[in-house]
Amino acid sequence: MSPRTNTAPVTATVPDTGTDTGTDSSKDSATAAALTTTVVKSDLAGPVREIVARYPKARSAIMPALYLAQEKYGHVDGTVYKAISELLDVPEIWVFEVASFYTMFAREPRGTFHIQLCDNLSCMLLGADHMRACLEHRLGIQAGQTSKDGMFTLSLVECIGSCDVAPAMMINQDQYSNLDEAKLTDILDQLTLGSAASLSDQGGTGGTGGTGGTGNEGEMP
Amino acid sequence: MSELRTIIIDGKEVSVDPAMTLIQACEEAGIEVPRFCYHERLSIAGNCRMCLVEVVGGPPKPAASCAMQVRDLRPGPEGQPPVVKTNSPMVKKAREGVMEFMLINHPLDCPICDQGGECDLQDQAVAYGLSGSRFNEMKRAVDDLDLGPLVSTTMTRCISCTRCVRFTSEIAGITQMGQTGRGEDAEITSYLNQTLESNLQGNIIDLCPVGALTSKPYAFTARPWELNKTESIDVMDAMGASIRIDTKGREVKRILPRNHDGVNEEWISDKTRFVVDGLRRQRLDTPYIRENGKLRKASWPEALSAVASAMKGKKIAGLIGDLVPVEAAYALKTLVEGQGGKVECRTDRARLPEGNRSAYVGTASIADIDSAKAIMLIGTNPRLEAPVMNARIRRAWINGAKIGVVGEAVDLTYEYFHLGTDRATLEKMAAKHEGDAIGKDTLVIVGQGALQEADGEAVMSQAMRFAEITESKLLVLHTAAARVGAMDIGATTTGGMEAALDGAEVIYNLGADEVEIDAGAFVIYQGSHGDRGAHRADVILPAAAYTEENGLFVNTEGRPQLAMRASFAPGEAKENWAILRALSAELGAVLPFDSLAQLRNDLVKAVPHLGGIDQVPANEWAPLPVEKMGKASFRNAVKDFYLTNAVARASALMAELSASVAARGKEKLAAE
Repeated sequence: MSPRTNTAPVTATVPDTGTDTGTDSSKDSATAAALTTTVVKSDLAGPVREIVARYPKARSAIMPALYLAQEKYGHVDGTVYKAISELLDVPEIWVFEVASFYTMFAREPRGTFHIQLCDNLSCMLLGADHMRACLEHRLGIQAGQTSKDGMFTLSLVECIGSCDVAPAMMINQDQYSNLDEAKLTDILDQLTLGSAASLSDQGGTGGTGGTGGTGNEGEMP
Repeated sequence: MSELRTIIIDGKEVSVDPAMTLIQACEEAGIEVPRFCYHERLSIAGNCRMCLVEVVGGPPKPAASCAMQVRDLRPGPEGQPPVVKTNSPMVKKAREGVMEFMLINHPLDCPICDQGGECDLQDQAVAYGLSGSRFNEMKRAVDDLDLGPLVSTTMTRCISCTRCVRFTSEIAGITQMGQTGRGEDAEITSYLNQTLESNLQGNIIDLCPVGALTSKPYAFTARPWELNKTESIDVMDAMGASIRIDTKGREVKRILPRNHDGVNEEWISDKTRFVVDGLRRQRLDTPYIRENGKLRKASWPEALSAVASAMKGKKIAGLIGDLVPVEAAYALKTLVEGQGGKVECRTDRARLPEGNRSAYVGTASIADIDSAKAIMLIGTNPRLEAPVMNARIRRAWINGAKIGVVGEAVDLTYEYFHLGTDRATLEKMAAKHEGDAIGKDTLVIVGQGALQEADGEAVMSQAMRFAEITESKLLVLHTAAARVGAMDIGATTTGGMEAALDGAEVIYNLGADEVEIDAGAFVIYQGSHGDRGAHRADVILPAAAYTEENGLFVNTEGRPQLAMRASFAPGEAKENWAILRALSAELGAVLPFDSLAQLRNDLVKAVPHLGGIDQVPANEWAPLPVEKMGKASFRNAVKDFYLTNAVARASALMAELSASVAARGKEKLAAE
């Protein structure tokens, strides 16, 4: 199999048949497990109404609505598709088509920290492979998987626009560059130690928001 | 339409509407452009890239001719007409390249694929592809879908043209299919693995350009080159869709649609397509005579003389069933009326006014639906009564037509204004109409359900009144393929079924299986299937089914069409008209024709418009005097789409489909 298929963050955790609609979300974190279409609908109704007003057709609002749901719940699944389809009055399959097309929608629950390691040319020349090995060793998972404690998801991604400070990765919204082994260990230590605090800060939803400015040092090559 | 534009395709000058796409312009010029995803009756997807052509002076890359309009072409520097090439080296290279990509993931299983021999990919690979492959990597594989008992899937063969997705969502009006994933992971899926809930789903088998979607009942039974193809007419509903009957030996293997822009375009319903196994089961293949309450096999001379002696000097009523060709109906009418009896074709007790063609056919044609700005449906569910016509109404709705419904509020696959369920609503509408649709292209469609009650004629009069004040055309949507033809030849009795059966000592039942006949009368059943009619018979005369004899049928818009014989009737069964002719000799009242051609001559002499095959005669508007209706709600005529006639009731597949529809209905009730 080509390495490219590994870059999709969500397809590798569970073999993806393409017909999986994520309805078996029961194994997800407490928040998502309790989700019903009604809850999602009431959560999203207000903002979705605003989004719909921006477009001539309701169908156009599917993508922003999905982003909204992902920000809120960490990932999107059958419950979310149903809720969005009802809010926008479009067939469910349209929502699922969009969600399955774009790799940036997670259709499986993701860890609190989503590590996206770039493995494209510049990063690879400067040691992305080694970084990947370090991460996999430290987290005990393969690229594309989520650690057992639900803290980390590691995925390989295409260029994240940091070739000048390669090798680089993103953890949730934050970028970490000029990586080496020591720095990587440091970052992961910080995240692991600070996670309890940051979790309680975010009300347990996880998967979104930053972890403060912890990672943005080292701009100089 | 705006002014025509002249363009040059392969050195040939053509003038076309600038709104046309290049692929259409090429067709106009008689040049074939290969394609997979493009289909003239579906929206444009532009994803297969097979139709690439070279636009001279345009961008230096080939253009997808299905997605580029003629008006987007730039003229030459001195105003010369734009030039398009479909046979240049660039195009050849592009086609070879596209074909190579297409075949990367397509399995080499043509020998075990049902599409083999009629496969677009196969044909175009031979015509436009390279002879070898440079692809040494692994091919991908895709899980198959379960779409139900009609459509078999082998999704690894899919080339993602999305024709099936576009058909189901745009024409059939269901939203179960879609394309998910992207790149190598792109697949056609059915949401949540649902099976398809549409009675038009069989059409995706024809649309699929490869062997990904094939017919489940027909699977592995024949190769296309072994089949004899007969162009005929369907009788499963009153639309009279154009069909092609494929036979191998004497067995009908499958039924496919033919294109007819005025009637079915190129779609047929699942009942039309998959009723085939019903032609093999429950067949009457020898005459029977009832003796001591039991039916026993008999020979033709025996049976005919039994019938003749039973009929002589008795009061006879002839009933004409729903699948009877006009010739047989005419022969029966001549025979029975010659004996002083009565005939009746309105066996479902629809109060169709005799002799008034504008009231029992209407003034509109099916094609009028396309241009209609507003359509009023009265007491009808076209989704069950004529699914292909319903798809056409749906398209009118998509193009902006307003649809109104008086009657049961059923799911028609499109939105409509539900004005009411009862006759009072119609009365109000017919008394005074204040709509914005008056004087535009509007259409009133009246179903048989509205006419079957005792006040049917009053309902018709009110519907005609409504059509008049809204300046609408009228279309009577029939459910029986034989009905209009039988009405045209006047096979009716004033007073309807009650009057025809009143005091009848002998009933000659010509394929009418939906009638309850009381005990007492001597019943002769002539038909193809051992269905309800045969159970009540004292003598059974086995006859040909609609695929086994030439016959004339007049469809719901009044268009006479010829059905052709594709195979022979089983055993001793004979053609319908020939049985009646033989019986007439036995009765000593020989019918004046010895061949079908002579019969047709007589027929056309009596009813001239039946000679105009495939022409819809204009009917003079003759409104009925407005009468007062009863008080009830409207009930639709067809309750169980899959079991409306004897052939369908004999089909195991139709029974399965009917059961699954019933189960789905229960599930939905439980969910609510």
